[in-house]
Amino acid sequence: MTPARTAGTNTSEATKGRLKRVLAGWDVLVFFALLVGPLAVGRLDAALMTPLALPGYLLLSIGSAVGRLIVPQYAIWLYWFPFIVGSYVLSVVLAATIRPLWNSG
Amino acid sequence: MDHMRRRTFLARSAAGVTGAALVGLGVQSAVSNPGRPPDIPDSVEERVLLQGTPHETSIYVRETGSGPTVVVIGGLHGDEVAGFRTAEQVAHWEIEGGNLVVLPRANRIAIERGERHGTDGDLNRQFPPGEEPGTALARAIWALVERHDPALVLDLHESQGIYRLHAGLVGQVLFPTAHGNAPAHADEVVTTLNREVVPWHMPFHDYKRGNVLRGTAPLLIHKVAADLGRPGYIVETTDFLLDIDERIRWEARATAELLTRHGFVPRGPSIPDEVINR
Repeated sequence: MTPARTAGTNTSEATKGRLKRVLAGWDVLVFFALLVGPLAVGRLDAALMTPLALPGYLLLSIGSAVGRLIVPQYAIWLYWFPFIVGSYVLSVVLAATIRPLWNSG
Repeated sequence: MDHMRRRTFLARSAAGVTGAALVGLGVQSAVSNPGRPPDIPDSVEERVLLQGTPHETSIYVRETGSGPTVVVIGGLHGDEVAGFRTAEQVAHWEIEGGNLVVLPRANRIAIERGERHGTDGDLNRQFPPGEEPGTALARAIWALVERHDPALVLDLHESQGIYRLHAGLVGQVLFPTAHGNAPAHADEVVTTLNREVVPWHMPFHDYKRGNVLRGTAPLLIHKVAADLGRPGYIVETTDFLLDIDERIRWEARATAELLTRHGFVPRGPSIPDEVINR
């Protein structure tokens, strides 16, 4: 393997690593778990619906309200799917926002 | 209003003969029904509405011999599980100061199918004020209500969404009639439920008092308002983010609070002490 190819491979690996960190880093997973986990658990058993579920509760409630205005024919439970996707996107954004602070600390 | 009542009386006269036969009340009581839940107390008499027809469904009656009567109805819509299961729970209660008549599974066919409607469309659109109800089942239900001359009627429902959050949906609402101080009682019960039942971290789930029902639509409680001039409520709890046990708990609590506000003290399973002592 030539030095040029070695450098190219390293760059590609580094990009993959950065992408993985941005899209599936531990901080992304933590945010996602905090948004979805407590709400999902609380939905299954009301005794487990704790204040930890509040962020996800607000997101799903407001999201389903907006969704209901756009496509009123959909059953409310269907909004779990965009909620999960939206929670993931939000987790990526939140993680990207706090990562520099975390790294500088 | 007098005009409406006269029309209802005429309709009642016509329907009375068939109504008595359809309902089977007074003729057929204490029916031995193998479907009777084993934990219903012996003091509760079971009767059958529309016996021998596809709509046959049980009525649970606890009479103290005197005092006014409360009628509680669930299951007008077959897919609103909390409505009919809460009514089944209420069938276990007794109320101090009156008689209790519970029709938990009004639209039994719809319930068995898990659908909102039964065989004849939306049952809770078959009660035009001032006129005869639109279907045999609706006529039998109305005959049951009129026969007991209720001081209070509660109609228990469930909605998939939350009123004023999810457009077109009516969960977490008490809709009172204009009679018997019902709007004020609804306000009080809403305050109590939001303080003692709904967690602070579920703010959209706070109950609200809906518009006052005055007989402007063909719903059962609208008819109670227009034709009987009695207090009545539609109780709507949402299934949004609430498991079935929690929905029943909230709806039962709303029912108990409304009974208490009208002078009937409920006693039985799942009624918290603060309701009894209020």
